[in-house]
Amino acid sequence: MRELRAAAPADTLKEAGSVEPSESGGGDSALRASGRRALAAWPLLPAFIFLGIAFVYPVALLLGTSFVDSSGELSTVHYTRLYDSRVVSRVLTITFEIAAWTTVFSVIAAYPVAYLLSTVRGSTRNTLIIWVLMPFWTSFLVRTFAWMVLLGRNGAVNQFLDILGIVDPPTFIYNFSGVMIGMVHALMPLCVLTMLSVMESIDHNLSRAASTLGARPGQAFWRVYFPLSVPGVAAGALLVFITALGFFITPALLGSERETVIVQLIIFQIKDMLNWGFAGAIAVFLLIVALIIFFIYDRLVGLSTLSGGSARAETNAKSNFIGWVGRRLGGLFIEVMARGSDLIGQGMERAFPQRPDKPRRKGGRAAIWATALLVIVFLAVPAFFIIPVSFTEAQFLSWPPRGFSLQWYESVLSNPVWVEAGLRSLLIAISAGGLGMLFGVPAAFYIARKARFKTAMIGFLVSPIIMPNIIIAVSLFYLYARLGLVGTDLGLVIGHTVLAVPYVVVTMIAVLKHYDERLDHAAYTLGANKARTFVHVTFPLMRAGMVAAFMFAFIISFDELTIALFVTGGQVTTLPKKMWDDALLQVSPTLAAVAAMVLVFMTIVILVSELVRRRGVQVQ
Amino acid sequence: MTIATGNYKLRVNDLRKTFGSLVALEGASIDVKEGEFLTLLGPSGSGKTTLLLAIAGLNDPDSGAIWIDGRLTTYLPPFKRDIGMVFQNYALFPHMTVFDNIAFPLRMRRGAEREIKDSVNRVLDIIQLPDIAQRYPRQLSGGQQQRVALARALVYEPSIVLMDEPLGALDKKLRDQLQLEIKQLHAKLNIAVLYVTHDQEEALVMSDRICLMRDGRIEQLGTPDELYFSPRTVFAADFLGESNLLSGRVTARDANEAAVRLDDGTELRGVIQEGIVEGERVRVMVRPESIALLNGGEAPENVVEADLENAIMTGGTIKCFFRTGSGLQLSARTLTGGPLAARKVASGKQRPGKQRLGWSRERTVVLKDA
Repeated sequence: MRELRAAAPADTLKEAGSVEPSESGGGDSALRASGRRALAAWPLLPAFIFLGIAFVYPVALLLGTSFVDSSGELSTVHYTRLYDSRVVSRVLTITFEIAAWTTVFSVIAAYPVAYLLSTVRGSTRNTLIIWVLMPFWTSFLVRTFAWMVLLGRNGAVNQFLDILGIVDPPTFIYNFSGVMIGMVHALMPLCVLTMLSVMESIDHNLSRAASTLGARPGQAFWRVYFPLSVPGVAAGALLVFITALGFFITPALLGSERETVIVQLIIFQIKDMLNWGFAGAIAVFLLIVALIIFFIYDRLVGLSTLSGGSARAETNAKSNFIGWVGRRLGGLFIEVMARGSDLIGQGMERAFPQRPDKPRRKGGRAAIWATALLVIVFLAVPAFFIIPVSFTEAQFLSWPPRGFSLQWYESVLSNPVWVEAGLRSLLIAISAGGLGMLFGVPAAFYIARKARFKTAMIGFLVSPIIMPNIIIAVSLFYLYARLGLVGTDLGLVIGHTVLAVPYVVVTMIAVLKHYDERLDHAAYTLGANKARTFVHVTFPLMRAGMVAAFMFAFIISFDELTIALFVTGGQVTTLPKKMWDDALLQVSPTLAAVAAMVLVFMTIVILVSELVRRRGVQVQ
Repeated sequence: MTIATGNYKLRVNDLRKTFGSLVALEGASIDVKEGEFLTLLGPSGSGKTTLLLAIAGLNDPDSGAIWIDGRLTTYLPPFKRDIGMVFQNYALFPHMTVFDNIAFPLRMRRGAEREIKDSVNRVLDIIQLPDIAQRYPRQLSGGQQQRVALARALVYEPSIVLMDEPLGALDKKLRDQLQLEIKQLHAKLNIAVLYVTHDQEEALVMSDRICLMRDGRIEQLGTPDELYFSPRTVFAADFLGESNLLSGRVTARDANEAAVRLDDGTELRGVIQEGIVEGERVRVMVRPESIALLNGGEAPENVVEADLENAIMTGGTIKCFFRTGSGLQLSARTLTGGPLAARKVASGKQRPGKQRLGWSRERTVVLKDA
């Protein structure tokens, strides 16, 4: 908000000439105007009311429960226990360790990819983005299974190392490194996308300008490009860190006992100990941690960067101490990096003098391509390893797969539990996607076009996905337990819609940013009323974006496990939940067959939506 | 490797650049003397920006050579070239204050902070914006940003300043004003400037010499006067200013003068270049403002009688459209304060009528038909 105020004088000057007539009247008309404005905000109502009931209220309820002891008295007993428990503190430490390292590795690996994507031409870019998003789209569980095939004791990686003659390879799985590989793989795409949106808006002439002004590439990068990309780096890091805090699939399946994370502790407390109050206290603690991190982030770079705004301007020590310290440290870091890289550059020049009469070798660009492609291969390829092993004749997952057999597919398709779970997931995903569109699209239109306090509104609508899922899951579980909604499809649909709305809003706002509103104005002047304009002009042009938004919501719901884990109450099951339950016992070829089918299904969904999107682009 | 380049700040010799099968630049040779203002002028895709970027080191030529201040720099990276560059969208660093922006090149050259401060303040005085050092680029108007970009490119006194359509983003009035400011600054500091624009008026206003480019080649290089009054090709005649281009055939010629019979039979005399032979098809160029509306006494070499068909008041001048009895169409420009006839026509008070038109032989250029 601060930089908004700083920029205000310029904006007021700009807009002074275009004050709306309705706002220039006296007190009475101003009152009417504000009333009208409130009425005009109706598109926000469905989304806000829904999230108020299905998200804010349950979370508040959870907060309340954590302050009540087993006899129903108000007490802080759970929090005292939280503070005293050595298990909790150990689990917390490892959770933060995992989240922090995941963030560090994700940011470092994502940076060159995002940089490359921001500099290549449109068609190359779209193709590369699909590969980067591959893990994002393919189910979390499928990916994790794939890593088990790859990294297992007799997995593809170890066999490859064996061929290379490395006899006693390190174990990559069921330890910290396994968790790291899985988590970075899962969360890096998020980081790439966030950085990309910032890097795209950096004028590439700035680096060129720096070099004409006498800066070596290293100096130009650290002093000009990097500072401008910091909002993207920070936003990417924040999202990865927060998401990583709430992750449990990867640590549970690729880690050991030692890598037990806080979400597993919450699940354990509720499922096995039935200690809801204590679980609530842990969830609240997680929520508070998330809020503190957001607060520090806001002080450092500004929350508005999350929705593509600019970073905080210069701050002073008094009004924003954290920001001031961060700025000084950041400045120091940049100074050190710039000088260091300049020294390296000078050394290189001395070792390999540049000849004025011979073209230079463009080594830098090739290095970026190589690094980025390596990262993209890491992101895109693993999931496909699940397909060959699903055709194995062996009774256990092994690499390479033995023979060829369709038995695992037959066993899945003839098992009513699997079929029912699949159909339920499909039905719920379609419903959640549809409801998400119903609530999200009007809100996105309003926010993109009219709203004041855009950042705050987006912040609220997006909050369900930037806080750990487990908090929503536990909260809904409490609420549903009172309403008797546990184990119902309706309960699942509501829970998934809470997650669908933010994704729809974010996608639609991004799409609407590129929509030229003058086309609507042109339609009005040509005699179309609002409804007809929407039907004949706006909707056809937005269709591709809407399909993308729906697909996004659909995929999120289809893949969702955390909420399902609680809300199904063990009575019904969704596909991810069934996969999870089976995986806890053993990752069998049956699971590989399910995973392969999910993978193929998701790929088709993505390709179809990409096709629709491209056709939409062509129309425009 | 140094060659004798006299006081040339920039020499470019036979530069060639291709993008795939597209030849973006071919046989480009120019030089810029100390204190000279040279403009690369041409339509988009003519190669002017390709040439500028090659000189800046932002793209590598396929062949040819570039010397900056007597030093061969053909393939040196930009930061080793001692150039200043002003970009079309200014390319001011948004995260740095005006002061830090201007100090950037000095810091890259490891100047002492005190001297940097003096230099920056001096250059801020020169661009007449002494009080904006602590502001950020986004807090400045377009014109102010442009001046800061200029200051940043000048502060370290590079051998040559390159400007890539620096006024393209500004509105007409501000553009006119800044054209003069840049011109004054150039005269005051005696710097060599290589300027790129597609605006022919801007090129005429600002340049000591203009290099007209077309399809990756240099079409003509000369002073604004030469380009305007003695174009060497139909393209040059057409691109700069307005012109009457009349088709005809050479009936007689000597060293630099020719008689031409136009397609409608009109006989004209004009100056002719070498390489055009008798009987060859040509185009005759006459600037509209070279055509005078005759009242009686004068007797220039070329005279025709024509009907005034239409006249449009365009501010300072009136544009008149004539047609002779044989069907030849001519446009002429005359001052609004000039002959009454045209003014009356323009305001609709008098019907068009016969008028004697005349222009001199020197202002009639016979060009090879393209």
